[in-house]
Amino acid sequence: MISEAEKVQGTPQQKKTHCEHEGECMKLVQLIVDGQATEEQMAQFKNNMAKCLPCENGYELEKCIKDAMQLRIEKKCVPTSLIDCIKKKISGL
Amino acid sequence: MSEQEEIPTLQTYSETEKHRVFEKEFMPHIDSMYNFAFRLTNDEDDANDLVQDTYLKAFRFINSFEEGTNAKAWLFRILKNSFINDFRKKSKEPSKVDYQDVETTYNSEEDAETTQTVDLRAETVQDLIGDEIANALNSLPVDFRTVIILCDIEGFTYEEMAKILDIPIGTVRSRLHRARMLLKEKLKSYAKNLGYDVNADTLAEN
Ligand SMILES: [Zn+2]
Repeated sequence: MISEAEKVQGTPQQKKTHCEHEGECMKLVQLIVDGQATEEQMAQFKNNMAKCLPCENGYELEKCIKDAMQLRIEKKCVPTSLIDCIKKKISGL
Repeated sequence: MSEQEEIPTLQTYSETEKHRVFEKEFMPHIDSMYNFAFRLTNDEDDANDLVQDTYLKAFRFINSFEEGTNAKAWLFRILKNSFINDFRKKSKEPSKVDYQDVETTYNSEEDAETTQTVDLRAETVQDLIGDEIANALNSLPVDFRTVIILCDIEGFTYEEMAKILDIPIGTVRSRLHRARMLLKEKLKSYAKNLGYDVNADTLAEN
């Protein structure tokens, strides 16, 4: 089955399966995933994605891990006793 | 270390204003602060102490905080410094010792041009449960854990992280890169324990 993304970007078979500048590509992927890329880096990344399978897979993986960190790690609620304690100490200052 | 160092202009809040600013600017971040403290210490009592220390310091140094500026980053920086200076010395954290090794080993992280990739698939990560992901994060040395928490969980920018951690932006980037590499190794070993052949193709899933 061909996904929507593949129709736009070309099938994986047409993409190169080995990336000769993977180190650089992955640094770019990090900037993209973290929302810290410039317009120029963004364009460069899109260009990479269109023809490079390791880049595409690398992006998918980093994005997935980042989402997991954000959404799937349990967030603790601060104990109300701590809030009360801080407020009490502050009001005594 | 003084939290006053970086901020040149001191405010002159009245006592009433101090309490108002504290309530309005600092208290809304207490959940994030508590979670950060818990992830650093891996212990609820220690997290309590660390957050309380931080908020009392924040109040004491409130004149170094300009209302309307980035309170969250300011508080995180105080918490991180408290953790390093007062807390880690007496911490029960087992990784305390290897932390020193890691620090020495990775002091050259700026030059680190590691290009090796970890053989792990996005689908595999999706199948891990939250606890496994949390355990993988917790098993990282504290400096690496910290950058991932700040970036991925708290959503700070590299610039904010540089200020919180007192390191150059380039170091933020390279430390993050390395932290994620280690994290992928950990996730991969969890996946392996679950019986995934991480090298297998999608064929296995069909
Ligand atoms: Zn590439």
